[in-house]
Amino acid sequence: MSVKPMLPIGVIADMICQELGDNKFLKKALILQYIVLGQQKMHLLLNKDVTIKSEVIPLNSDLQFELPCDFIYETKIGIKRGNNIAVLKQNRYFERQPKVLNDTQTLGDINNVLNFSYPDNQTDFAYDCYFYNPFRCGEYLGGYYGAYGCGYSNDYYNIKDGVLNISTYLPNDEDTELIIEYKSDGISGGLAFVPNIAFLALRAFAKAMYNDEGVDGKFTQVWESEFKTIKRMQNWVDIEVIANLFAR
Amino acid sequence: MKKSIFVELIFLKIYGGRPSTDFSVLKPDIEAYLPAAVNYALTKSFYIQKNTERNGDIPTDFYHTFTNLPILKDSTRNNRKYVNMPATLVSMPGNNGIRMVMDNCETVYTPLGDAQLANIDYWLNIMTSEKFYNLSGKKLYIFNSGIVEKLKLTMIVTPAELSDDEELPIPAGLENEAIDMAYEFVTGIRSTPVDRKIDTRDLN
Repeated sequence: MSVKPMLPIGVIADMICQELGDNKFLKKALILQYIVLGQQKMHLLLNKDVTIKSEVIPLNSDLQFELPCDFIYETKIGIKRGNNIAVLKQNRYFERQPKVLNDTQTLGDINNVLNFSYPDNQTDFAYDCYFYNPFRCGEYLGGYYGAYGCGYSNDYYNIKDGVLNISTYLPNDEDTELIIEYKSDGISGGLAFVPNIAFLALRAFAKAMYNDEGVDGKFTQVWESEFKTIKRMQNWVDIEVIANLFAR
Repeated sequence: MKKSIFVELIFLKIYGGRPSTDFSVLKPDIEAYLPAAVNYALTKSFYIQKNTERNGDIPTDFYHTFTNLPILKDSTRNNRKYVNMPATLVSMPGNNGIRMVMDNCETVYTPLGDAQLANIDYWLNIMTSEKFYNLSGKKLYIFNSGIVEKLKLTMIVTPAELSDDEELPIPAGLENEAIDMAYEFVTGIRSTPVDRKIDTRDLN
């Protein structure tokens, strides 16, 4: 799967300003707001390529973490050190008490993944379980986070009452960080980039909003047709996925 | 057209090139009216361009660039960052006198209207990669600027603060109109009363 090209929203707004003849960008702030609203509207109906993002969460010692403000539900949670990521398994019954137990076994298990020394008979590495569209405190990290050296560990996580609990101690290491991949509501965690395929749709949406068009407006129709195109492209199943299904 | 030439032309038009001690209109009087004439020409050019090319653009050689403007913090407005305007801005609709605001990393800032200031904190949390400015009086406030230290500002300076050798920001084709306006204004001024009495006192 190739890396999806991303486009800053400011670039789309700049182009619309030029089309409107606004060389001093007096309308750019308003256009940016329309683009954000368009992305949010489109976001509701699209699949993971535009709606999944990853966020690095600051570490703490009691192993309970606040979730990002645009969190809807998680898709994957991992712990990263260096180039390796240990992906946690979900356990709906797991609940960490406020008092943390000293469980050195769980730390040893996760260290196996992070040091790339997982026992051969328990090999559960999945090299393609990268974290998609990652951010750290609003900074876009680019590409796929941990695309190499990613593996599932035997440690658990659970989300209860809006708090993420994990079952393992975290390695005492400055390089270690916790990352969560989740379904986002699209904008409230900060929107800096949108996929290139969304360019025409967002441009049409912003122009239709700016022109205050109705359903028969020129750009409203462009927006609808582009949105349908994106949905069709997003629902396209890779031939490798079908091949893997039949191979089982 | 240079500022001194503009003034000289009006002077020439009033007195026909014959210097006299009876002049009632002096060059400072013409210079005082200059901003009004230039603002009229600039704003007219702005609307002509808006109606024809749909962009309201002004020739870029009229803009002055001020660099290395230090960024300060306004304690009266929640420590918002701002820079002091380095010169008086020409008063055009929609702050069109400002061409561009950039920081020392060459990032261009987006202008914010006063209506957009009402909910700017909401949008700043979303549009984390965009940088904004808002002009309020003599202060230019900046938002989402990050750790930049200096600002670069490109703007049209009001003619009152230009030196004699600097170009006036009058678009081509509108010079005559501006000269005529200034001429009509200064020739309409009431002159000093004529001293017809022959004595040792000279009112003039």
